[in-house]
Amino acid sequence: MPRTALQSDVTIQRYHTIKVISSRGLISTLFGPGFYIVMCLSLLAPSILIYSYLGSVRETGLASMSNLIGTPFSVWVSIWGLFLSISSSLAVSREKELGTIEELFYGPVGPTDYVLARYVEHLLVYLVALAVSVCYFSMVSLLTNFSMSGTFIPTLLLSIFSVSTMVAFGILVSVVASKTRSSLTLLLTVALIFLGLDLAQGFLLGHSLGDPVGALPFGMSVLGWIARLTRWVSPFSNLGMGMDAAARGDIRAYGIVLVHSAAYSCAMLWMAVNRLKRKGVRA
Amino acid sequence: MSATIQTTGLTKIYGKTKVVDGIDLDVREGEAYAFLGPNGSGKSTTISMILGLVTPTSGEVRLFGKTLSTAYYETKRRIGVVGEHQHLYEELTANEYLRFFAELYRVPNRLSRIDSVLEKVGLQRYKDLELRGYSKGMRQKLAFARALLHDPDLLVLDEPVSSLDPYGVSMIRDIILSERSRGKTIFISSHVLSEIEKTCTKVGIVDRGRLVAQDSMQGLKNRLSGGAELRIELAEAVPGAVQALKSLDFVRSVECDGKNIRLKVSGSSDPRPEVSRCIVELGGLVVSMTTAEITLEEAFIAITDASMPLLTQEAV
Repeated sequence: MPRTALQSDVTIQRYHTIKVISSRGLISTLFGPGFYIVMCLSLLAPSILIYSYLGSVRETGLASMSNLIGTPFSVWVSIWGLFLSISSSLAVSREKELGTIEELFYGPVGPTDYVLARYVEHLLVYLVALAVSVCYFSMVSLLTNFSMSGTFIPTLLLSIFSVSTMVAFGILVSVVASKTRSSLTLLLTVALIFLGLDLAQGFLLGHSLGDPVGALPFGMSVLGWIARLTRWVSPFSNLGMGMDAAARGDIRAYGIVLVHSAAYSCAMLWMAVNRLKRKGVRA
Repeated sequence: MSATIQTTGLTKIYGKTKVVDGIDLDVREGEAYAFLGPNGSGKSTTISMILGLVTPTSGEVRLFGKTLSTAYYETKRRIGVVGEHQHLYEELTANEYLRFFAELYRVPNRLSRIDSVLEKVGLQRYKDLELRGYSKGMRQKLAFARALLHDPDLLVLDEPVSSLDPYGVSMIRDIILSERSRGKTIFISSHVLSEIEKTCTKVGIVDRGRLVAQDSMQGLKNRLSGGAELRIELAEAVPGAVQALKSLDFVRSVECDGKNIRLKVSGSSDPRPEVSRCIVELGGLVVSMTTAEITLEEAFIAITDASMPLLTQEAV
């Protein structure tokens, strides 16, 4: 068979495999209770925020926020990002633990197809959830007479890219770990480290104001460097960075966050594929 | 006949342990190849490497003349596998499970094909039952159905009858024989040697990671027993029979005890017509003539026992 025909056959088969596996994953998620529980929680949290804000507007007669939807939506995205990163961190390790991944690899499923399929599956779940959230926030906007700000659409797009980095990171964790428990532990440890660094920087920032010549400025500067670095390494920081950029109207910074998210996702998936190729599918 | 499975110097090392040590397998198209070995001899690791589930430390695997790195999908679509343990999607029914794999393998006329393989393994009645309710034997049969779904050219079966009752064993044997008669290549690893003897034509025996024997079933038995044994009962003793029989090309030894004669014969053709003619020419009358062969189990034990001192000596 000529080389180009062979390559096109490979592409068709790969596309087909990704489609079949990700569809199965999507359907199984949509038929499971997890999706609906997270959907309820993720809509409940913004509802509480919006309700309490509207209460304060009623009491004071002042609308202090120009963008009613922005913060509740970022809470909604964070909840889904957390759920999908945990879910993706369990995706491969669970199949390895149960042995079902072996049955897939007996057939026309390769490491690249499998990793991409699991990634696409989680992204599709997010897109379904996002569609529901758009309906919800549009309804809130209609009922409260607060119009959606101009940053809502860029935030929607940004959320897809941000969730993509979290899912890709989760999949890498899942491929590295051989058991579900170890993959969850690894993901939570990494998340806590990034969160800890963020909190430590905030804490030092607060205290350094009262200690301009002491040791704190040095600690601040070290933490500042680490924070700048982790901002680009952490899969959880893109949403915040992008929303800041969108709020400032800084298109260049916003674009950089999108490109960074895409590159980050690709790098994570590439590492996951290579790890799976090297180590095989056995737990 | 072209090679369906060919491995060259296949080796796998885990830590400091050489689990598979330079295995050279040669499985030809249309053969039913039995891959045997004691527990922990490296069979499953070898099979995993053949299927691309485990990366070899060194050596090469060729399936249908191609490596997986050059023709992954093309090759994988032509293989059906029944693994040692059945890991199924418990929440699906047999029908849904097979539909998923049929889609993955792009099987044409999916629904009728699913019905046909379920019928073949006797699970048609249970097709709408969730797999978590399946017994071990039913899981094994379903795995067989999955392996047959896309009509593969090569069936790789790791302990295919381990969880089955006698009816199931007989059903799977019939399926294997029918696939063999259709020219499919079968590669079986099993400890149920009586079944292997009924279904396979070629044997490879692996011990402590090394391939210690690879031959046709008959060749292996002949090699170990020094040939087949023929037991003849005559109506009465025939003078000169021993000399006459010894003069035949294929006769290696003759033992005579009055009316009973025991011959050791070599070669693969049936010696009975020639022996019978020889006795009749001397005026004798043959009452019965039976061949007695070494069983595969005896051959297996003889080979794996013999390889032990050899391997120990080499290790020293």
